[in-house]
Amino acid sequence: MAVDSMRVSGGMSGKSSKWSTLPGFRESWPGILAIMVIALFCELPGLPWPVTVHKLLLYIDHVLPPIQGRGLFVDLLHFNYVVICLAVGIIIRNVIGVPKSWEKGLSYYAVFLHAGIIMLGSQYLLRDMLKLGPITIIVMVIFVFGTAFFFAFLSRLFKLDDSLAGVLSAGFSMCGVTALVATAPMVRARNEQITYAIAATVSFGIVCMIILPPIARIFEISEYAFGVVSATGVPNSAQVIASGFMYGFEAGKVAGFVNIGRIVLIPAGALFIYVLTMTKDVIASEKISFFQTVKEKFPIYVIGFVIVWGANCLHWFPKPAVFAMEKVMIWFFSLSFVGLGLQTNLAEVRKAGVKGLLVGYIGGSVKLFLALVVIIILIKYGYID
Amino acid sequence: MTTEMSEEEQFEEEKAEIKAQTDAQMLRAKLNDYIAIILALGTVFILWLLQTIGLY
Repeated sequence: MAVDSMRVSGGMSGKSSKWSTLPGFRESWPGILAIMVIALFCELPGLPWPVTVHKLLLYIDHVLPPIQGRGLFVDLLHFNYVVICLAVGIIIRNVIGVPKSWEKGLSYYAVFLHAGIIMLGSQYLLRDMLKLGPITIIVMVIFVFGTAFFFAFLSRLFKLDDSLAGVLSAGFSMCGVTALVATAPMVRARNEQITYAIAATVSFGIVCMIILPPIARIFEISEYAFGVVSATGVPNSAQVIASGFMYGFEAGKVAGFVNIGRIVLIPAGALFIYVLTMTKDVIASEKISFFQTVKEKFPIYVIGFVIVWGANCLHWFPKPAVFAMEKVMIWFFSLSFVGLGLQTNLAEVRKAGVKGLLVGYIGGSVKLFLALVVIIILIKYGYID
Repeated sequence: MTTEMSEEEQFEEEKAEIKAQTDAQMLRAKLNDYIAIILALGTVFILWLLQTIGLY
């Protein structure tokens, strides 16, 4: 207890340090170790481990009679390392339960996710950025601001509280939880409203992750196009990348790359939502500065991504090193998906109530549907491969 | 003595509380980002170094 209070106040010197607010190693190691061990047993690609869930599924597919000449789990249901890591995490959390000692360590899953996104920079060159083209960027920007506008309209239609409308709008229009937390103080959201909006955004993201890849397979869209659909239509970065990798490796990489654009838009999007949801009197009394917002809300790991991407564009990394970076990137993503699964409490979603969830799910579904339609039209007219 | 808090005071108090909570969440997100940058750039550097000196 005394140690804890010292840690919060910044130690005996009384000098407060930002780092002292992080859970310490002694409290976090069980959760971090659990993530690593579970990921190892799920399958970390390229790491020879004799007993994994992936190998077990391959064995079951081998034993069961094939369906149309293909195995049930790996070929038809596409149980790759992303699905396995997430599913095992969710099953452990919701069926078996997670010990309290793991909780603080599990909160570090975002570190693995962001480290993976930074390392994604090593898989891209300048020509990939140019290949994205202005059309993809324009579509993404229109979807971010258009979704915010649509959510403001839906919230008024359902007579939702302005603050809740603001955080829901931030979560669904940009990259989920990060954008939502960044916007919350501007739209004066209460803690329970933030929790509620996170539950709505994350649960919708999980639904997207499950339904989007099979739907896209019906239309036989390319991995590249799927990556763009995922980064445009799915809320929450973790689920954008997970749904991409569920469709294919290239789709996952493209989704992560395009999603960076949405992350960069957080400050501008937060200001836009603030103007949309707050009354004129509130806006006039607060005088929020654009540059201050950018400084406070800009997610700094994007800088790490730009550094790695820049170094790769300058061909500083030899080919084998890039290959090794790809493997480590997958490991970081696997760890983050296990952590995300272990943090997904389905009971929390059930507790969240109906009205806000309804607005979130209607708005999110319309956005996802439109994203799919727009990308299919762009493919048809040759704007996207 | 019972003093009823005016609506405005209550609102200000609530606003300060929300700001403190979201500030804490933002700080945690920023620290996570710093760790992620160190972890990722460190990994990239080690892999590059091992490759350059021919150990990998």
